[in-house]
Amino acid sequence: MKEIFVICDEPSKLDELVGVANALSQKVSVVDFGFETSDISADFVIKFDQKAQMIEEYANSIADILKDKDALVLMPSNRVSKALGARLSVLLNASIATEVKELRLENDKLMAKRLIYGGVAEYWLETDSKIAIALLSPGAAQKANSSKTPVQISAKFIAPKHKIELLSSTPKQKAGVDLSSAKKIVAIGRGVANESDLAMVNELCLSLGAELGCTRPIAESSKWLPHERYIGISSVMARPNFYLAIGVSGQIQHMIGIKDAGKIIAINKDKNAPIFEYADYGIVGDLYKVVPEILKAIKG
Amino acid sequence: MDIIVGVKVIYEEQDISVNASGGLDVSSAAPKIGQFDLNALQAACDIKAQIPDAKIKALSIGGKVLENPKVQKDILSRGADELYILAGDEFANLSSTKTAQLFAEAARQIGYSLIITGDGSADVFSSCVGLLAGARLDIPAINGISAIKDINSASISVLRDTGTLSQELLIPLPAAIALSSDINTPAPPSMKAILAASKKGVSTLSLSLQDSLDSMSKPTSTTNKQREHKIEPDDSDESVARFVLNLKQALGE
Repeated sequence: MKEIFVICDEPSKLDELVGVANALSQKVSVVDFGFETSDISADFVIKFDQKAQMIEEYANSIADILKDKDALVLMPSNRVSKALGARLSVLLNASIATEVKELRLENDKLMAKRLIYGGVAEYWLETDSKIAIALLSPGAAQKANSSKTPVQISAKFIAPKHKIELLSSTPKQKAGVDLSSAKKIVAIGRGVANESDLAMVNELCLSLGAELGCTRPIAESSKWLPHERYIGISSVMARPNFYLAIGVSGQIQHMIGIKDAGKIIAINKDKNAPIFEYADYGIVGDLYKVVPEILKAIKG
Repeated sequence: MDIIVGVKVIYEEQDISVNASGGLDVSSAAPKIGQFDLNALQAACDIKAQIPDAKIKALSIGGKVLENPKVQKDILSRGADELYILAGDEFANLSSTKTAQLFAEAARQIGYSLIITGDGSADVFSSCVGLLAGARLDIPAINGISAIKDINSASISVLRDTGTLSQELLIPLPAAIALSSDINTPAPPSMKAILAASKKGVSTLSLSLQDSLDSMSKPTSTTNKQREHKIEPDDSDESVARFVLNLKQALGE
């Protein structure tokens, strides 16, 4: 049986990872990065004798604990875990799978399902290494409820060989929105010509009770909206009941972010726009004619 | 300063079809540079604008598609001074750990002060090949770089976006950095750069895999949710009225 180590830098993701770990193994250890771990249901909580400035600096310390184990490491699929996980992978000669959509343990081998080409296809990564590292997307595996009281273990901090100097670190200003849990989303793409048109779209969002989302060019090239509102493979994956795309062409990198939406509705003046292949309802037309009509109908 | 830029050649997603057995057919899909790797090439060009004697070495590992002169010219017209390829059927569809092993070995052979990769490859988006290669080379490796503030022969000063934190870092060189996709807007190649590309060198590397930690199954198409596909063909008053009715129905009204 593989021993499971949960290494999580995001407090909000810890419960799910610990739940998955308890469903997969009867020996679960959690690395404590300094946030509240007193009510964690695990067999062991590991705390280092020195606090690092950056989570990535714990790589050598964690590798020292894991080096002789037959283990599965569970982490959230985020940038810090990718940086730390990659270093661990090399230090421990361990396979690593990021953005895991489904996870299984078969004969103690990690099987990780991943998407390819923005969700056109999927494949399984089968690991042959004694230690495997999986960075899980939310909902990748079943959780188990348990009520263990962990034994606290103190471990020695081993400084990294190369020091990246952290000059400053500030919490990011969030847009105050979590599109991944929004029930209704109106998203805009490059078909919306002017930033001033956002007023009309915002009015529509307000009338529908929907959150505003966008495609990558709107967030990264035009910078009309913050990154938190960009839906797609390298940002938010959403699952709304209602998704209205205005001037969104339907590039795969965007569509993967809403492929499981309840109803997809599209307005685009290009009849060949790929968005129509994914849509339940659509209209080939001028958004500046259609959107005011929707507003009129919704407001009654 | 030698800058290695990781470039993955992928296929045009919209033209990939599914064959009868559920596998992917890329025979009608044109190859292209992954969109996030364009950010990496642009970042290298921006550094070269500050340090004119910097040399940009594009490194690409993949199937025989890399032998396509059009693909090679495309990479070289986007600022790379040299292109190094490791091409062959055995290098197509490799896992991240295998690609990183080859990438690190290639980097050792061709020389580097800085390795730049994009946010992730646009096909599998594991976002860890550059980080794994950096770890294999035993150099600092960090991701999420959203701005390069300063660079000299000893270090690079950057801003990093972890998703929850904005950090300012000073990274000693040599190092490997992976970018955040909002770091820049890649410029299309100029006519001068396109013409110059055909005069630049392409080197073919010869490497083989040593370790195998994992294996990948053949990709199979995912099942997409069935959609109603009720599309109004124009925005006449009647079409708009029908569309609005359907939209209200979708809202549950």
